[in-house]
Amino acid sequence: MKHSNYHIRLFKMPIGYYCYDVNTNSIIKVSEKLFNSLMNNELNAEVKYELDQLKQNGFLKEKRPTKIEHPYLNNLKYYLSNKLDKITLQVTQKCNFRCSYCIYSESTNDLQRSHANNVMKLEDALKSIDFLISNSCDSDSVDLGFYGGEPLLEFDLIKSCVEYVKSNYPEKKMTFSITTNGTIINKEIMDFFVKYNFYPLISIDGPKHIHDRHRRFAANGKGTFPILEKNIMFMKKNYPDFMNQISFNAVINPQDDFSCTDKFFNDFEELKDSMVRSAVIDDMYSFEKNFFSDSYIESNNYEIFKAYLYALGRYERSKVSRIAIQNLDDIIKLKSFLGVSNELPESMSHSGPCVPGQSRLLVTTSGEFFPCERVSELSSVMKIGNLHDGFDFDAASKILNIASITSEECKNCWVINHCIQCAKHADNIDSFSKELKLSYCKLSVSTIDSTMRSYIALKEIRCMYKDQIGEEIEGGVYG
Amino acid sequence: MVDVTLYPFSLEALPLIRHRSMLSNFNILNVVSPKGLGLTNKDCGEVDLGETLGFNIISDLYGSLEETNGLLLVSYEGDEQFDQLIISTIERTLQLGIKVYCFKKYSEKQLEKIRNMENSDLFIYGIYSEITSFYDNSDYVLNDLKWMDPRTLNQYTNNNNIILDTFRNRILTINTPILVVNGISERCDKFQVQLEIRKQLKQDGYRVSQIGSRQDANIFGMYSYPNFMFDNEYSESQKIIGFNRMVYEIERKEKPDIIIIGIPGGTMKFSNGFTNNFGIQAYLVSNALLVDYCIHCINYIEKEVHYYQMINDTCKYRFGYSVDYFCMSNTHVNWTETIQLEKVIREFVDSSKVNKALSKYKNKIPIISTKNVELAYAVIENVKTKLGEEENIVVI
Repeated sequence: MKHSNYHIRLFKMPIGYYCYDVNTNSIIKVSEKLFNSLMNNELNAEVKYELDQLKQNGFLKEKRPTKIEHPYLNNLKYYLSNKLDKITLQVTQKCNFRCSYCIYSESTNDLQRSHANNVMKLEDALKSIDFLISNSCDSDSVDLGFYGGEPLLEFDLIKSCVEYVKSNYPEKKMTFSITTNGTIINKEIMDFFVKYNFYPLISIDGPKHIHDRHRRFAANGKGTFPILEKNIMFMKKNYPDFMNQISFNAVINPQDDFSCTDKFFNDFEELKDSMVRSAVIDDMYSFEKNFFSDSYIESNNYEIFKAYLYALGRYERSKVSRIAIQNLDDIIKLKSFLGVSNELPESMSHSGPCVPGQSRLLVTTSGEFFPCERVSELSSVMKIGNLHDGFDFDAASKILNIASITSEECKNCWVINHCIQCAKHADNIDSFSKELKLSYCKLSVSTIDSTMRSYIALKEIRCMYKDQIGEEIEGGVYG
Repeated sequence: MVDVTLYPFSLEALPLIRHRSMLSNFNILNVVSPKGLGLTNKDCGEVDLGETLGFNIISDLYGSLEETNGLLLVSYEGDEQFDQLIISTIERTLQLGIKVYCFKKYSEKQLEKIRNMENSDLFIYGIYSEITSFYDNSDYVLNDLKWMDPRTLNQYTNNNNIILDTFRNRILTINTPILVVNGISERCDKFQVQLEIRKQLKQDGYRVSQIGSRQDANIFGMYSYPNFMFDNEYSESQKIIGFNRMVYEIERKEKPDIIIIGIPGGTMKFSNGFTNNFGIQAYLVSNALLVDYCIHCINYIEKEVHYYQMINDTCKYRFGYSVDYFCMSNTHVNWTETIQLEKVIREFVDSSKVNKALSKYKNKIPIISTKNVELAYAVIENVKTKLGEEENIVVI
């Protein structure tokens, strides 16, 4: 009998043999013999009992979905008309920075807009707020975000928006957020943030020599770190209780010295009470793709290793990289989505796409709607409406159901429950491209493969310690 | 009958609009919602993706109060901050010399604040109107039997006029057929079903006594679900006996043809993470009364027939009665978001989806959509069939 039709993924690990069962979305431990039998596609008498046991318990099904369609597709209009969670206002396209990796800085790039002097009109901003309210009656609370360019260049507009909300919609639970480079912050702005309970996200890439390599003033090309550092210290000194509401974001260039950046975030006292997030440069709409240096890979992996030791309760939290520890989030998220299900449904989509427009609708300075601020504003296929006409439900449907363009591949893909792709990966600016989407599959598969291996390793090592040393592992975050 | 403006309109208030013909004391002329709830300029019926009702939701409260004789303040979901906003509205309305008929339960502290306002005599706390207050007291659970008719009580006292101990903890027999409406969870149109059944039975000429699943159910002339059932001061046994006594007294006074009981909350936990209050109220009521007919409301779901068998078995073994009719609402639980956000997230689906799901069960199980206009007729025919058959059995 051939096993090739079982919908599974096999993992050979130093500590054992495992099988991810796609239909039940669970990881099971198997014997070496069964593993080899499944791998070589041959049944033999030695594994028949184990194989039969697994099958009797609902594992090793051959079922694949017959149709690739997002389950929310039929209810999309309801979500967009009643359940908006957040609207992000692009209050300006102006910026006082010219960051080297900023996609808007590439003047010869037809994949994304460039920096410009466009500013959102007040009436459009207020209309966007009205839109958010009337389209969120089934959302308990919503968020109003401010984005740019550098949004604080239009602080008066932001003030007007917040005051409009407070006067006209005091009943709606609303939070306010802003993404800023932090160089324009002053007392008036901080008092305003505190008064209205803002959640700022401030960009800082690391120590001076790394930060200034990429983040420079537009006016004179000088580095921005000194002013930013001064402002952070000002915030810490005068608004210490508010610091835990501010998040800092580091854009990581994988050619830079990771250990330097890492040390900076661990040692910078003023950031101690704030959340630190990081992401590698988003090169999706750039001609210049990321290159991961050997030293970056080495340092990064070493820090991730220490984070895993912490997860096992064998290393102090204070010594773990604040950047590397985010890797644990991926494992915890995977763990929460592994579950007992009987089998894949007949019709489904790969995971990854959000409901476009529901979770973080971007309204540009000209009133156009996009699913988020990470997609190209030049893309005709990613546009999902505008302030005057409302949502373009057809366009939103195509984005939500993006898996349908690679349906045959997705039906047979073991990553279907955990895929990380969305419409952005298929965005060819004036059309959706199957080839482009498929080119990202390898990344998706390797990411999930790696996360599953880490999950298995942490789970099993915990048990190994208990068996070998005969003591419970104290502490740690990984149960 | 008073012409009123209903405020603040939200999903909770929708049954009052849908069944406004059953309100004997109020004629709703205007429906007002705070702008922040995002319902302004929508038709009331659209709020749960139902049929339009011809009632447009407006935001100008004081303008609409000029056209009516009072403010009908209805139950809503909201936090303390929202309560404060509404109480400020009450204050302004009273200052204008307009009556406020309040069917929202407030705390003693909030009520005291209202009682100290100008023109507080215009504030009528309807939730504790006479129809409810007589029954929503602790006499039933304290078991001192002051409420009991002396002629009945006499049967349970000895020659020295001392109430027999065996009586104090006794479940009294209710002879009138009891129909319960319970549900798998909150927000599955239970109250709407209770209203539809009540309306149809009354139209058919039956005397109906009813305890609604909401604490403002008395606005429809039925009894509200009593507070003592949620009061931590009383033991479960006291609550069970108290509820039994309450229904016993309703039967004695009103001599109905049928008693309808709406049970708040759900009937079972969803999972270890989402316990749905364990179906506690349903369990308490099942011990207080012998149920003759059960209508079970569920959320929209696409399952095979054995799923309903499982629910039926759960009711049977947990509460002692089977499910006679299922009613499917058009709300459903979004489990992906529920797990992510760690709170139950409910959404609406179009009725056509519900109808499509139900078409699979034709002639297999008794089930109907809560939005189906034939609901009451279909269910009551089934009730009559079942209870009529039992009437043929005579025990001497």
